[in-house]
Amino acid sequence: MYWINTIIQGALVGGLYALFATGLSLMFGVMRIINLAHGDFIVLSAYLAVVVINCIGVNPLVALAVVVPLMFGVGYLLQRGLLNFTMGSDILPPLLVTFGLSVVIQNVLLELFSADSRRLQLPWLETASVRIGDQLAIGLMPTSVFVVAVIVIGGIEFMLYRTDLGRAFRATSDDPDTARLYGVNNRNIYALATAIALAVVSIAGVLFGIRTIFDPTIGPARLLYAFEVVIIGGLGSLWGTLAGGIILGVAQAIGAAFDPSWDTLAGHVVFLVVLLFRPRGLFPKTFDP
Amino acid sequence: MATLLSVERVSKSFGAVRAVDNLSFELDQGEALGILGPNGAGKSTLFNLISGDIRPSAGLIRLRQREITHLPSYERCRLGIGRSYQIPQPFGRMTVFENVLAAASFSSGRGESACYDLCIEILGRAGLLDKCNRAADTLTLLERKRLELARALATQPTLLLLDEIAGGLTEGECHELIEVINALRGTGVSIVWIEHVVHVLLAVVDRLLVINFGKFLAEGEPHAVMANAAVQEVYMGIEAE
Repeated sequence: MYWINTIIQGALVGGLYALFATGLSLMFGVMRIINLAHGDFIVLSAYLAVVVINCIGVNPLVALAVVVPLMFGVGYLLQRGLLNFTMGSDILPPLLVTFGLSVVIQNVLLELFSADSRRLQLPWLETASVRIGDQLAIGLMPTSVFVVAVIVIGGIEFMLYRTDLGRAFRATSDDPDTARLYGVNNRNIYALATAIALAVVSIAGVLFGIRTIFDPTIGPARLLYAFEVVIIGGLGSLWGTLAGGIILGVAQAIGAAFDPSWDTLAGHVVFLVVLLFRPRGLFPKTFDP
Repeated sequence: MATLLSVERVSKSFGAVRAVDNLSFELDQGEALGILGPNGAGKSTLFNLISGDIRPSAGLIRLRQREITHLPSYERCRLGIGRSYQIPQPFGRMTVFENVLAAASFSSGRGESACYDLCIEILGRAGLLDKCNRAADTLTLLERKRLELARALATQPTLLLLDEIAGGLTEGECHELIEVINALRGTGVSIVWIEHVVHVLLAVVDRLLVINFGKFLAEGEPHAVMANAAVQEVYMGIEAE
């Protein structure tokens, strides 16, 4: 029973990891941009929620209604005003610029909010659970996060394969020059991709902030998780990303069950094993080359 | 007849090479213009300039009197310039239907469901209806060429740029192609067609331009142009057709 509990908890955390990874995967899939500031945008979203909660005194879930559109706008402007100018045949400029962004965001957050750890309070939901038997308790919050992850990923998959915007993303991903010839304005499409990516990131960031404490410097570690999830799941497939998240979450939970200090290590080990034996990930699909 | 496209003293240099050298021509509404020339004569570069893939080093391009020299290619597409590439470049991971649907909806700004009928009709004309749901990168070369044309048609162009679409087709297929293109002309589409398969070209076009080294060698009524001594010199032995 103990192990079942461990695995379920791990799998539920995996939903959050999958959310971390989804934005990263989308930006890479559409634009081949590896956003090194991805983790810092997660943290930035959590701090934005802190500000919204302090200003208008709502609970974190209501704050999402402000943070998500805000980050969507940030993403659009970021791509249109900055990242679009870094794109070309060379993959180095976007890496350098997003790395720079990462440093800037961390330091701005440090300046504004100090290095103190924060947490988004959600009094009832964060502790509520459903008890199954006497050893198994399933938290409502982790379950909700997992459900949100499934809905978001399902929504993005639907968008990619069933809507004109999604087809524009896939066409641009396939061949940007040809897509332009058929009336696609790449710069706008790229901006929308980053906007959607950051909107997803903001959901992940707020849920993350409810789940655990955060401070301005923890972004890069979340980026690492996101990378691992994308690689484990296989590039280009968002359902694979969800599976990758679950695998990483379960690995960490099992590691932690042996010794609490092993949780991150166990995740990295599983990641390395996958990289070694299935370098294209467990569920490789496309919309990437 | 109203002038649809005018290319005015356009040049394009790549380093020291003048791929297109001070070319000027006009295309009337509904006209079909053929462009001939040996490999490397600057024909595809000329198309790239008109469709907006690249910008000229000098000169102007107008569509319906409006200057489009510096417009990005997606806006030119929306103004009615459609193009098929010499080497088909479908969106390989999308289905055949999606390829055509994407072109139809992006270029018109209409919702996808408003484009379904158009797409089905075009795919029918291109003979690709039964391949609708195949991924485009599983198509044969001929099918890809058809898809390339279908995708260009899906943008509902008023000016269609065709880049060597008859190359590699059998006699019967060439015949079908001529019928498709002539039917298109009947709907008022203007055409500029680069082609090495001369007899196919002559079956369609009203006027012929011959380019060599980025400059005009000859221009005029197709058969007269083909009879021109300078053209024969460039083409003799190069084209058996």
